[in-house]
Amino acid sequence: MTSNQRLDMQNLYLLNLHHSTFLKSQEAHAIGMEMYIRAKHIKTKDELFQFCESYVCGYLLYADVIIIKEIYEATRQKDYNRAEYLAKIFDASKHVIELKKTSRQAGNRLLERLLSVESIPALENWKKSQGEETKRNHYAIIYGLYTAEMEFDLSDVIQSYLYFSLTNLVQHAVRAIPLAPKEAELVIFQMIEKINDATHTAMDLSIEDMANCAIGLEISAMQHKYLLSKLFIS
Amino acid sequence: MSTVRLKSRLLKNNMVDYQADDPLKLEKSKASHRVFTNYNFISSDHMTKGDDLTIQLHVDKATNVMVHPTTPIHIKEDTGLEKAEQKIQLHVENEALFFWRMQEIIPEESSRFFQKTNITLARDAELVWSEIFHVGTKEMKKPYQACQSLTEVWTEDDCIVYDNLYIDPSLDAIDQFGMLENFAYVATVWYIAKDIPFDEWDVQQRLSQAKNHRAGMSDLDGKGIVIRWLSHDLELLKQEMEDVLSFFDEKITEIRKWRN
Repeated sequence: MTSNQRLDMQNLYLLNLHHSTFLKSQEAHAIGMEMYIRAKHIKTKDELFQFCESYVCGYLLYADVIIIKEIYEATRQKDYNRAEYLAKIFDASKHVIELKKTSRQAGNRLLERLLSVESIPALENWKKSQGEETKRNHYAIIYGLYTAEMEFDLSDVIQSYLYFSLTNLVQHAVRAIPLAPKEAELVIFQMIEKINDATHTAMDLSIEDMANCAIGLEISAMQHKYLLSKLFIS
Repeated sequence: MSTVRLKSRLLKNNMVDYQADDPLKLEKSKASHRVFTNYNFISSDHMTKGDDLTIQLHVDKATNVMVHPTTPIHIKEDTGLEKAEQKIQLHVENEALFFWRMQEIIPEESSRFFQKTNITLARDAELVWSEIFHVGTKEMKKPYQACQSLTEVWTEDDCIVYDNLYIDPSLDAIDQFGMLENFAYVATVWYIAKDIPFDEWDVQQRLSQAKNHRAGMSDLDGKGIVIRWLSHDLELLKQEMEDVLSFFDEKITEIRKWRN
């Protein structure tokens, strides 16, 4: 197999990881958005674009993406103590219980599913080191461990994570607002440049940059728990 | 660096190893309380570039302390790259409780502020921590360069809170939905305890959803709760925080009064 063929193959594995037939991963991310839709703050394509920009460039970039990058690098260096520390602070940084539980649930499912289809030493070691404890198996952690072990290109790993998180969010928004499919496509199309920029920015970020400035989203996700009827459940 | 050790003995709390030097000036307040010993925290009312303050507090076993910051801290103009830094290191021993009552931080024109709060709790220790950041103005402007507050709470090797509130006014999306939404104040209350002595609905009903004001609370995975606000109305915000903190005080007192 030539190096180009190997790269193509890896890209397919990466795509497959995100594909809906493999595993739906980011359902939790719609929870905060639901409150804005209910309050009629998001009702047009432009408002949805604005929200998606905050979500990708303000929330995901400075939380999930940094942890994916750091876990990826720690795994490549086989520094599992570092990975353990990163998982601890990532778990503690998710303050909203619904988001925390859903992120763990998705991570646990990803871990089980990956291990059921192939042998992946980094994930096997991780699972062993966690024992019965599953609270640190967040989706971003397992995703970082797996993509590092598979030697996917880090930039592709981040870009695809952002892209599929976005499309997943927009899919939810289209049904909840509701919006015409064409308008949703326009939002995604507009966001592609932002995703590309965010990926470049991410390559220069480190754990010291992991930050929380998405306070509105956090409060919305907190309020979501107390709704009597919900469009999106965790 | 300023340090103080707060020690309980014969129903009285004492300050040990304390020099009363800047930036940590603590004095017992006249307010009496059945459970807590009240201290006023008399800080400078401002910080400026290059200030690098470290405060260390150690709360001894079974000591109940409530600290009231007396003045808001204004972060003054900074034309260079240097930032004003404040580091708070707090250790709370078993059965002790530390209650930090509402510090206000006000970053002003061109300032850069960084605060690192590192708290370690023994297994049975409890913590109430509350603060308000003035992140905008009535004109919806953010005149400062950056405002960052990193709060970490650890129990042994378990991280309970990792909250890096970072406000960079140059970020394109900073005031959009999901972010700061042009609100002028961000406030947080953390209550960390193994067993919270009330139902979360008791707190939830104290949070209003008034116009220009948003609040939410969450359980911290069975290790406490967090309440977060975004508001335009400082008076309402303080009133609501005071209501929540007084409720905590009442519930804590109901339990701890029997321990003395």
